Formats: sequence, C-alpha cells, structure tokens
Amino acid sequence: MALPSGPWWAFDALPEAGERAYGSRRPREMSATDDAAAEERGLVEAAQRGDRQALQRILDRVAKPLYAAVIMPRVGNAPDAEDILRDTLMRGMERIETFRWTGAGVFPWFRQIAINLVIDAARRRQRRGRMEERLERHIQDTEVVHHAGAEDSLIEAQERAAAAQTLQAAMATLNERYRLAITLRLVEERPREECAAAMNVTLGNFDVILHRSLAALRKAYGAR
Amino acid sequence: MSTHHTDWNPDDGPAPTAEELREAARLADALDRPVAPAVMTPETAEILSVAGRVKAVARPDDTAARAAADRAVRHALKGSARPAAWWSPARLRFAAAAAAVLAAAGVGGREYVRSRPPAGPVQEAVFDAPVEPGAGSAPSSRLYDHGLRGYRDGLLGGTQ
Repeated sequence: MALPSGPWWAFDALPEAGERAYGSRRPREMSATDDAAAEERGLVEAAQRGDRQALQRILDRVAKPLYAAVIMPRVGNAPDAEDILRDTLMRGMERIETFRWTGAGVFPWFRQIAINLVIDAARRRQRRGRMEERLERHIQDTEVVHHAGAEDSLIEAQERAAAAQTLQAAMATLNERYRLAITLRLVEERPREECAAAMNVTLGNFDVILHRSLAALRKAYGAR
Repeated sequence: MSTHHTDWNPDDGPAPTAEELREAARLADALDRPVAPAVMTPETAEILSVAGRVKAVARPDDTAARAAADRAVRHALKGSARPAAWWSPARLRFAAAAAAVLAAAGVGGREYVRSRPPAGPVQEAVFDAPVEPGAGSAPSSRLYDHGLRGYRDGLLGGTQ
C-alpha cells in the first residue's frame, strides 16, 4: 500500500512543516476583537481582586485548550495529563496576583506553567533522555502569538497546529514503512489485522514494525 | 538472539528477537485497551506514551478533553475553597498530628516523672545544715524546692 500523499491526516489549516504556525498565514478570525480583549482583562483583574466567578470563567476558558493541545500532545497519557492540568490550574490560581497583563492575554501564562509542569513530571519519572528535554525546550521556545480575548477554540486550534507541525516534522524523518505503520494504526485507527494486511506482513510482524516505528519516532521527536 | 522468521521481510530490518516480539505484543495489547495496563516495562510505557502523543495530535478526543478539563476546574476551585473552612482536610490532618504529638509528649512526660526517685520527707538536716553562700542555699529555699517537687510529682502522676 502506498503512503497517502500530502499531509498524513486531515487537519484543517495545518501549517506546512517549517513554517511558523502563527505567522502571516494566521486567518483573520484568529485575531480577537478589542472588546473581547477588554473583557478578558476585566476578568483577570477581577480574579486578582479575589472574584471567584471571574476566576472560574478564566479557568473554564483555558482548561480545555491546555489539556487537549498543550499537555496531551506532550504527555500522551490521559491520567498524567489530567494531573498536570489540575496542578497547572491550581498553581495559576495561587499566583494569579503575580500575573501582569500583556496583549497576549492570560492563556500564554497558563501555557508556560503547564509546560514547566510537563518538564518537571518527565524529570521526576526519569524516563526521558536529554534529547527529549531538548524537544520540550524547543516547544517552550516556539514563538506563539496569542491574542487576549481569543476564543478558546481558536487558541486550541493554534496550539494543535504547533503540536502537529512538530509531529509532522518528526514523522518526516522516519522511513516510509515506519511512517505507514504509524499512520495506519494510530492516525487512521485501523484494526491491527487490516494494518498487517495493508503492509503484507503477519500480525506479529506488524506489531514489531509498529513497535520499532514508535521507538524511532520517540528518537525523532527528541532530535527536533 | 534472533529467532527464525521465515515470513520476516529483511527490508524491515533485522529479524526480531524473542524479547522484542514479546514487547511488541505487549504494546499491541496496551494500544487496544482504553486504560493502560498497570504492569509494563518502562520502555514499553514510554513507547505507549509516544503513541498517545500521536493520537492526541491526529485524533484528539474532544469529549474526553472537555470532561477532563471540567473535572480539573472543579477540582482546582474546590481545592482553593477548602482552606477557608476550619474543618478542611489539611487543617484536620494538622490538628490530628498536633494532638498525637501532645498525647505522646504527655505519656512520655509521665513516664519520665515516674522513672525518677520519689522525693523523700523533709529531713531535719534541712534546718540544721550549715548555711552556705549563694542563692538557693538558704533553708527556706530548700524547703520551697522540696515542696515544689512534691506538688509537681503529684500533679503529673508521681508516686508521692
């Protein structure tokens, strides 16, 4: 079976590899209105004065993009990701008074907390090598443009595009068969038997190829 | 050590070892489960998390993400509200620990006092002893000390 051409999975408005996720290609609707930015600033200031409702609205707004687009793509494990999200929100609440308003809004501040906690968790587990820490720093350094008052779905789309870009670039370094194994099984979520048949191998051999593919992807993630 | 794999395509690299076959089967099994199995080698767990990262990007589960986010927000808000209450778990734990320390100190103190020899009756020598220079050497001070020790032993459960 030949590799699918173009992007390996359907992903609307996915930036090409090597291109900045939030550069000139950013759709106009990604920019928030001044009213929305002012509303977000008002919420933040109210939360800093101890208004719990304002705080809850901020948490409601940032929690899902943080989980789905920032933490999960870096952790890959739902229970761990949820723990990190909880810690992120708790830490954000504790330190909300120290937040200083910028035009980017409050999401990048929470995002930074989340990424720091992801790195802390990886260090605690001591499973990751230096290469993967380098990856996390790379992701941390990735310039992301957020706008105060942007809708959470748009923030999530931006973050997911950045994560997809990193994944796509790592996938591009794998050999074709490895890429195909990952695409069939994880991206297209086909049953194992179907994947094995598509690659003309036995079921056991497909498992081995997938195992090797993911080990190679892990290294490729770290090398980027 | 490689095993015989007549169906293995050499283009896919060296033939897998028996151990690699087992690990690959474990990974395949884990990928089929909604929750990762508890027993896994660190290597397989790490590879499983890479698979999870791919899925999180390529096939994000919006419903699960929304549910996880809502739980985390509730947890965070609940966590911040509790410390204000006197009965918060953290305060109750502290109170229990403090009570345990005080109880242990009380028992220990009693044991310490019990282990000491009881104060004897007032001896005539207290009155007859020659006066020595220095504070506390006067017979009145020595009588006071004796009384105080008896009172303390009685109060703390001494054998007086």
